[in-house]
Parts: sequence; structure tokens; C-alpha cells
Amino acid sequence: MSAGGALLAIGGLQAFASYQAARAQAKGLAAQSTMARLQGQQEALKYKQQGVAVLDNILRTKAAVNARKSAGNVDPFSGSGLSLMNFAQATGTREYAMAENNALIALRGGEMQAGMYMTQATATMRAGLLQGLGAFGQAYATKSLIGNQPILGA
Amino acid sequence: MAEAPKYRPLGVSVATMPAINYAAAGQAQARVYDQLNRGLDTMFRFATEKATAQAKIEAAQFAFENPVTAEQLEIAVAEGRDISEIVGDQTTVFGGVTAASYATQLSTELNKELTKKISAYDAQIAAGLFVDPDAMQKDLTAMIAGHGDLVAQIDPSAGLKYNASANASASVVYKAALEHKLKMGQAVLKDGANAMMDALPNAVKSIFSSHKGDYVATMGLVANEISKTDDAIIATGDYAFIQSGRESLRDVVEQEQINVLTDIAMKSDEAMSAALTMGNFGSDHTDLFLNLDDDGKAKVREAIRTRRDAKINDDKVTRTLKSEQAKKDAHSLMVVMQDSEYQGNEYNEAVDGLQRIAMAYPDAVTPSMITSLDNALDPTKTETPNYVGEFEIRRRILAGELQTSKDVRNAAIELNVSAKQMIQVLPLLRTEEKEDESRVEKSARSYSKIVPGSDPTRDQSAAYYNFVRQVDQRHETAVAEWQAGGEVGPRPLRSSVSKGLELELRQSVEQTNLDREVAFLTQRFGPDGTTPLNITITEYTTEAEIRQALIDAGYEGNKLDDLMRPVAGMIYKIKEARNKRDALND
Repeated sequence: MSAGGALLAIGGLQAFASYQAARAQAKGLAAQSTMARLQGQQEALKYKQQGVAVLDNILRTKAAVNARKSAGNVDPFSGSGLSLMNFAQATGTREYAMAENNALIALRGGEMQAGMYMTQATATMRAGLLQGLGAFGQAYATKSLIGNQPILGA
Repeated sequence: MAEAPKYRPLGVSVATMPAINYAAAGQAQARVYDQLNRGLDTMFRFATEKATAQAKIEAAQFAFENPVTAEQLEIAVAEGRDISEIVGDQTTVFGGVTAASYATQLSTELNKELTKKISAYDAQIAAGLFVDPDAMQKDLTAMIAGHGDLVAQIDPSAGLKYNASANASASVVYKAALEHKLKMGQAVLKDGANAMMDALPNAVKSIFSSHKGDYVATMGLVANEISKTDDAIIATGDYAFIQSGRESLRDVVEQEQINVLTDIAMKSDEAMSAALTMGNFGSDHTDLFLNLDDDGKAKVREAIRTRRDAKINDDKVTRTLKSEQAKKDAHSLMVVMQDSEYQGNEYNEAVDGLQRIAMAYPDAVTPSMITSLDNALDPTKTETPNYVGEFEIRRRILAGELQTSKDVRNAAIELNVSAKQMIQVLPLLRTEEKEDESRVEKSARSYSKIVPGSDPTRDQSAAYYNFVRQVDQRHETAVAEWQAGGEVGPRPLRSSVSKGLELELRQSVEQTNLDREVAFLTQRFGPDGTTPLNITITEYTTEAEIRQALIDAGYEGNKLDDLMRPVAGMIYKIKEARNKRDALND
């Protein structure tokens, strides 16, 4: 093999290596994107669970007020009983709404992170391709500058 | 009353915002464009280099096909045109290359002119002509400056290079001119100093000869002469010349003092005796002798003795030669007496001649011999011839037993042969003697290389007499041995002795010549020679043996031929010297 041929071969190998490196890095980033999406969903589920706990707490409080007032022969749905139940309902509803919003934020955050990773993966893949092309192009340019014997040489 | 149950909040609070890295995505995208940019950069660089290389080739080709001469540039400069119109814009790649090419072309062209001028100066110096270094330097500097400026207008760095290289070339010839000038000056000074050194001994001798007893004044004059010569020697500035010149000055005073004193002593026998015994050299010069140290005085005495011995020797040789001639003349006159009329005019003149010889050289002829000869030739006297004795004398002469007239006379008395008969055989002796002497003389002339009919030089005369003296000594020894051995065989001839001596001396000379030629060859090809070979060089070494030794040593082709080239001549000289030596034994 001539020195020029060797240059091209090395350039080709360099291009292949760049492509493979970019591909591996892109794969990693894609996997990390999936993981980020799962993490977002998991966080959202935690907040939903918290919302359910809030609803339970409202019911538990209302039941306690009802039971206490009924035991004292007081109408639980009027007077202070009603007021306590309304308070429980209002405070609990505020907490529930917050937990719902948190779940939504966690879900969207995970998706956005996953999107970022996917963008990085795509860019890395493109950069690898261009680097490979560049390496091969440089090998070709170097070979051309070194030159060769003329076609009609003696 | 128990407190009514109340809603207890679970503590739900607003969740913190998830940490999302937006920058990393942007950076990744930026890397893509960065990579793209790098690729484009590489392509741009490649395209630029390619275009630059192409432009350089085209520019060089253009410069080659459209050369610019120094004349064109000079015209352009004179017309005030911009030089870039001719050589191109040097800020561009194309222009830069064309300018560099033109600068190179121009440098070569101008360098040729400069080299021509330098060579002309060089040739003048080599031919020994005087070249003024300052004028030459001015001429070359002006030329180099003009050339350098012209080249620098195209390419300043090429101009600087041209200046450096041209000045380096010029400096060589300038140095040679300076050395030549100095050498010429030194040669003139040396010539003057040599002339003074040659004249110094005579000048000093003249001062010593004119010495009138005032030693201080005389030595002052001598010191003045020495000082003048010494100044001339020092003025040459040549260390070796000064060293050898001053060394030769040291002995001049003493030597000339000795010469003058010896001359005075040799004026007469009395003067010599006074000088040797009392150190008296007359009223004027005795103090010269007395002022010498013991070593100098001893040298004066030695010089006087040497000259005295030489004079005695010369006188002896002259006397011997004249005596020999007198003997020959006596024999001739005896023959005249025998052949002419008894007591006629011619006869009487011959008798007178014999008497003159007898007075001057008694060993050549004695008065009694003249009387007995006269009696023998007297026609009035008759006597009975003794033929037996006469033939015995003849035999002895021819056998070489009798060689002189004295020998013959003694033999005649012994054998009772009359004087008249003795006179009759004398011509036979004379012929023998003459032949013998002529052989001796021939050998002496041959050895001392005296051409017959030419005036011999002093050295040739010295060699001649030295040879004859050696023949005399050897002949006397040979005769003594012959007599001691009972006089068996012929009496040794002087010519045989001289032939033997000549052969011996010439063999020594020819052997020396042969040894020298063999030494030359050994210095070249012997084991320690310039081209060491595994061969023993002798007078019988052949060309083929040397060639084989060279081949064995690994020489071949042109190198072998080069080394063999002088061998044939050297071998021929050895052979010739050997033949000359061997010819002496034939």
C-alpha cells in the first residue's frame, strides 16, 4: 500500500471511530432521556399519593366532628360542627390542589429533561458524523498536497 | 369539655422546580456547528495551499520564460519606473516568486561579471605583476555595491546575500594582493639585507686590514658596519630570515680577524714564525691578536698552520710535477743527442739543456750521467757491445721490472752494459713510462672530471692532485710489498694502482647513486612508505612485482594506474644506476 493509500485508510478509520464514539454517546443520552421521563412520572405519582392522603384527612376530620357532635346530641351539620367541617373541607381542598399541581410539575419536568437528553443525543450523533467526514476529508487533502508521480511519468 | 376535632394539615407545600440542564443541549448543538466549521476550515486551508503551490509553479515558469536582464532593470530604474512593473507585486505569492527568481537570475548574471574581474586580478597576482590592493578594493567594492543595489531593488534579502557572497569572493583576491605586495616589499628588503650580508665580510676585513693599533676605534667601525647590516636584516620582518641572518653575523668579526691575521702571518716565513711562536703580527696588528680570547688565538694559530701545510703540499706537488716533466725532457734531449751529429750545434744545445735540467732537478739527470752519455756517444771510442746484458735490460723493461732511467742505469752497471747500449734502450723505457704515466693521468682526469683542453676548476684540481697523491702512496706501498716479497713477478705499475683506485672510488659513487634510487622507491612503496605495501624493495625489484603487491593491497582500476604511473621511471633509474655500477667491474 502506498503512503497516500495509508493516509486515506487511517482517515477512514478515524471517521469510523468518531462515528462509533458519537453513536455510543447518543445511545447513552437516549437511555438517560428515558430514565428522566420515568423519574418525572414517579415524582408525579408521589404527589398524587399525597393528594389522596389529603382527601383521607378531610374525611377523617369530618367524621370525627360528626361523631363528637352526635355524641353530645348536637346537630353536627349546623353551628360549630358545620363550621369545623367547612374548615376541614377548605383547608384540605387547598392542600389537595397543591399536591395535584406538584404532580403535574414533576411530570412535565421529567419530560423536559428527557427532551433535553434526546436533543443532546441527536447533536452528538451529527457532530460525530461531521467529525468523521472531517477526518477523512483532511486525510484526502493531505494526500493531495503530498502529491504523486505524474501519470505520464518516466 | 373536650375540645372539638379540628382539621390538621398534612403539610403539602409547593414542590421545588426540577433542575433541567438546557445549556448542555445548546453546547451539544454548538459542537455540531463547530465541527462543521472545522471541516470547512480544513477544506479552505487545503484549497489555499493548493492554489498557493499552483501560483508558485506558474510564477517560476513565468520567470523562466520571461527572464529579466540587468540592462533592462538599469533602464527601468533610470526611467524612474516602478520595479514591480517588471518583476511583479512582491506582496503576492506570484510576485514574490517571480521577484525571487529574477533576483536569483540577476545574482548569477552579475556574479559572473564579478568573477571575471576577480579572475583577471587573480591572474595578474599569480603572474607576479604588481596589483595595488587599495585600487583593486575600490574597483571591486564599487562593482559589488552597484550589483547589490540592483539585486536589492528586486529582493532586499537577495541583495544582502549577493553582497555577502561577493564580498567573500573579493576578500580572497584582496588578501592575495596584500600578501603579494607585502612579499614583494619583503623580497626587496631581503635582497638589500643579503647584499649587505655578502659585503659585510669584505668590509670588516678591510677595516681590520687598515687597523693601525687603535683597537677601540677599529672595533667601533666594525660595530657600525655590523649594526647597519643588522638593521637591514631586522627591517625585513621575516622571523626565520632574521634568525638565520643574525646568526651568520655573530661569526663574521672573529672570522675576519682570523683571516686578516693569517694573511699577515703568511706574507713571509719570518712573519709566520713570529706569529706562531710569539704572537707577533707586526706593530699594527698584534693588538688585534692579543684582544682575542684563548679560543680565538688558538683558531688563528690553527688557521696559519693549515694554510702553511696546504702551501707546503702545493709546493711539493708542483715540484713533483716539474720533476716528472724534467725527466721526460731529459729523455727527449738524450734522444736528440743520440740522433744528431756528435758535438754539432743541435748536440751541444741538447747538452746545454741537459745541464740546465741537472742543475734544477738533479733527480732527473746528473752531471755524471751527461758525461758518461757524452763519452758513450763519442764516435772515436770503440767498445765491444754486451748484447746479452742489453737484451736482459730490454726484457726487464718490457716485463715492467725497470721503470725509470735510474733503474736502467743501475741495471746497466750491474750487467756491465755500456752507456751507449743503455741509451739505445732508453726510448723503450720512455715509451713504457710515458704510457704508464698517461694512463695514470687519464684515470686522474676521469675521476676528477677534467675535460682535456679545458681549464679545471679549483675543486677539480684539488680532486686531481688528491688522486695522484693517493696513487703515489699506494704505489710506494705496493712496490715496498713487491720488494719485500722477493720481487717475484712484474714490478707494480702506477697505472695499475691508479686504475684500481679509480674503480674503487667510482664504485663508491655509483653504489651511492643506486642506493639513493632504491631509497626513493622504498619511500613510496616500502612497508613504511606513502603507499605501504607488503614488499621488500631491492635493486632487483620489478614493475610487475609492485603491480602485484598493489593488487594484493586492494588497489584496482584508475587508482592502480595512477599509483603505477611513476613506477616505470623509478625502476628504469634503478636499472640504469645498477648498470653503471656493474659496468665498472667489466
